[in-house]
Amino acid sequence: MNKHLHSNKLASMTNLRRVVQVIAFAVFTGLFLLTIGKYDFAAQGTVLKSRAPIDLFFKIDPLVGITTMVAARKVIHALLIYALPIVLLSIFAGRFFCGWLCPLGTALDVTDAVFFRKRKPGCTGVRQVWRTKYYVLLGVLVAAAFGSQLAFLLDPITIITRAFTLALFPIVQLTSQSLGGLDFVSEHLPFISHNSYIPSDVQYFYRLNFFAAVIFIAILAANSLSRRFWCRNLCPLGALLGLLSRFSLIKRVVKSDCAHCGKCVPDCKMGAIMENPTDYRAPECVYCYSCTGVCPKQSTTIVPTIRTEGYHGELDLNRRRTLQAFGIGALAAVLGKTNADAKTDRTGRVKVSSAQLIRPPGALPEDEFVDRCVRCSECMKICPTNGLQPALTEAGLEGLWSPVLVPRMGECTQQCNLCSKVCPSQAIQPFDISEKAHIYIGRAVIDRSQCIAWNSNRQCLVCDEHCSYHALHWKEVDGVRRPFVEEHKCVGCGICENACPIQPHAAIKVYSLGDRRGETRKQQKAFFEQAPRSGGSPHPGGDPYTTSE
Amino acid sequence: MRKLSRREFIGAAAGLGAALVTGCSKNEAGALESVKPHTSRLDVKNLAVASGKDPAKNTRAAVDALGGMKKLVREGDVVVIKPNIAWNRPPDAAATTNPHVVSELVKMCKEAGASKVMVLEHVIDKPAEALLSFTGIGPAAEAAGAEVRAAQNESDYRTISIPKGKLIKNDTCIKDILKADVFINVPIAKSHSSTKLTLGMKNLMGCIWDRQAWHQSESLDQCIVDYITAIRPDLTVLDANKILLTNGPKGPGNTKNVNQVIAGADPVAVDAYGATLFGLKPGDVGFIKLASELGVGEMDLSKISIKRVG
Repeated sequence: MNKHLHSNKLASMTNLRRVVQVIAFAVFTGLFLLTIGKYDFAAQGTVLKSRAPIDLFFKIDPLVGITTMVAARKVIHALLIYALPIVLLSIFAGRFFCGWLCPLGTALDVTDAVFFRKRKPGCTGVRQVWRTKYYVLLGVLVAAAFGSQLAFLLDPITIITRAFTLALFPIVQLTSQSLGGLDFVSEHLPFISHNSYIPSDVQYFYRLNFFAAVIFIAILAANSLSRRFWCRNLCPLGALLGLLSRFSLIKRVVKSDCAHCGKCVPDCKMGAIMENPTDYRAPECVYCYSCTGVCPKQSTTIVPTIRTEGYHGELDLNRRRTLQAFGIGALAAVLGKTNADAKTDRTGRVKVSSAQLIRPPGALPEDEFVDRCVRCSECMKICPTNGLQPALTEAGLEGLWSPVLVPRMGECTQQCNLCSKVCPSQAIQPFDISEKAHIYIGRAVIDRSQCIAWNSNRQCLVCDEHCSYHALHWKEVDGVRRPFVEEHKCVGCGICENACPIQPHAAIKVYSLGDRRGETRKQQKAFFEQAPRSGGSPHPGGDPYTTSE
Repeated sequence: MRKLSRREFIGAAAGLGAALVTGCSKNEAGALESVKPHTSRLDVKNLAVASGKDPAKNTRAAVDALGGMKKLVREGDVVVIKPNIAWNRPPDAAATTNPHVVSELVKMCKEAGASKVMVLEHVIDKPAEALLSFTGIGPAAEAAGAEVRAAQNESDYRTISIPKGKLIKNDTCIKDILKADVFINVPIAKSHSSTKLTLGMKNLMGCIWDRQAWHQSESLDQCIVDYITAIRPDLTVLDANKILLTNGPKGPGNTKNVNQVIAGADPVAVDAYGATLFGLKPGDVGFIKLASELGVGEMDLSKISIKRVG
């Protein structure tokens, strides 16, 4: 009777874990959805409809926190405070995050249950390379120490968010909109194409969606080699939490009546149980409670204890490998910094190679920005025009996947500061809508060889019509009115490039030459105030326009 | 018969779904619809001009002076109202239609027995859905009982033929407008960098999918006029409570409180009157002149019976 009760209780721990996993994944997905279309435009600026912490999973991720703060040489309180509970949980209780909370871990468990059920439960013939993740972690940390934030390539939260944002979401949206085009759906099932979760006004497209999907799918597919292949062998966040949990107070304890049947060994999804089933590598355990459930004699328990029989916390890292990891991390950082794309001009403000490196408004100066940006893609997801895209080459190796404005995709719309509101590391600094007329992210340049108002004397005024800042003015040249850009008024929002009817390349394009991120807001405002009061047209930032009766 | 495995079933279902999704949006947009000629139930010879401080009252007075909404909207009709919600500007910038004008029209249609009133627009600035409320029109029209939507997807449009068009022989139109029993155009009067003014006829540019084609064509004015030969509103209600004098169409610019609402079934006559508010002659505005030449309506205001109220 007593035994029976015991068994139920243990089985319920596995179920409880599954329930928590489902809830955590639902929270992750819910927060993901809350950054899509969930905002209002009000006179004083944008308002997020939800007060939920949409970047929660990035803030609680200690790997993102530590690499960002080390690389940026700055204490970022938001990252520190939110990550603390996970750090404490790992130190005192163990790697619960990996087994119970991590959305990528849950995705891997689900993949396993759906696609790889027929595989033998334990590890296959693949050599176990569980130490690799510690070398990966070391490399990432060394790179951070050398000033390069590389966690974005390998952090699990980043990987799954990016796959959801760049690859999955546009497909969901396209499907919903295409179905909405059917008369039957639009009349009888209107919620399919018009609901508050899937915006119907802008179809999102992202560059690099293919790569985001391939990386994600590869990680899932690696489960065919062993269960949770990624978590066991590669995940640097898992490695970090494993290190922290070395002296955890909750441990696996096998009672003396263990028959050494070995059933728990292949059942361990992390491969943490050693050949002698009473022994296990503690930092590898993610507390899934499978071993306690599968044990025929219920002699395997997971309990709070300070005893250490059967407990192996040592990593036995290979010195040569450690040095290699150190070297690779350092090299990656230094290569990024000596890459041609990293060369700045003499002022140090502008990257030489990237005329089209247009950062979102409020972005920190470039060097600081790439160190602080955690590549969570929240800004790209919330950008209401789909203008923010992951960088491929614009920002160099170091800036891969960081946000750049691609005006042909969408402009930086005037009444909006949403990206600054969702940035977890404040790489995009908060700003007020009223400042937007003098936060210079670039400047439009007219290509007179393409512009039909210049090259074929047509009466095209689309750029002027769209411009939110009255940065275009007209002068008569050779008897025809031609457009010019006023540099003090043009902030580089790109609405002109977006709207320009010339295909495929616009005749008016935004370049980073107008980027004034290196200046303070005050300096930028002073520059703005130098704008000439031409042609009786009132000053956009000064005295309001007149109303006559 | 061989049993279908679960795996095969899922695969087949996914394939079918994908085919459906990729297939359906294409063939719908491709269909060419000929528009049945619309003849308004209102007399084209009449034009109503209502003056006063209250935009909603002006609106009601102007429509009442034409004989009332009941003359136009019958019991059970579906009505589409097309305001100007092109830009991200607050209501008082006079770059978008006054929300009170729109909501009053919605109320009047409902009172006349309309089964459904839709307020539709192809919004230019982004994000469209948020701008519906930013301009004040969305909440006002919704409160009055309308369904407000931005038509931002190609699947919201149908291709139509324009047999009388000189420059364009076919174009697109929001499909709900084609299906509606009554179509009311509610522009705001403002300056325009390209066509001098934007009034009623120009406002129909918000019914098409591809604006850039008109901008790139030989004559934007001609496109505007060609289009109205096919898509002709039953009623045009021009919001001239506050007009934008400079920096149109987007503004901000200098404004003037004209405190008028102009209503009429003849789109050319409404625009002709609108031009006079800016100190211009109707013939000074390209699309008004071309429309008159093509016989779309009357731009000579002396031949129109103008009823002034308020």
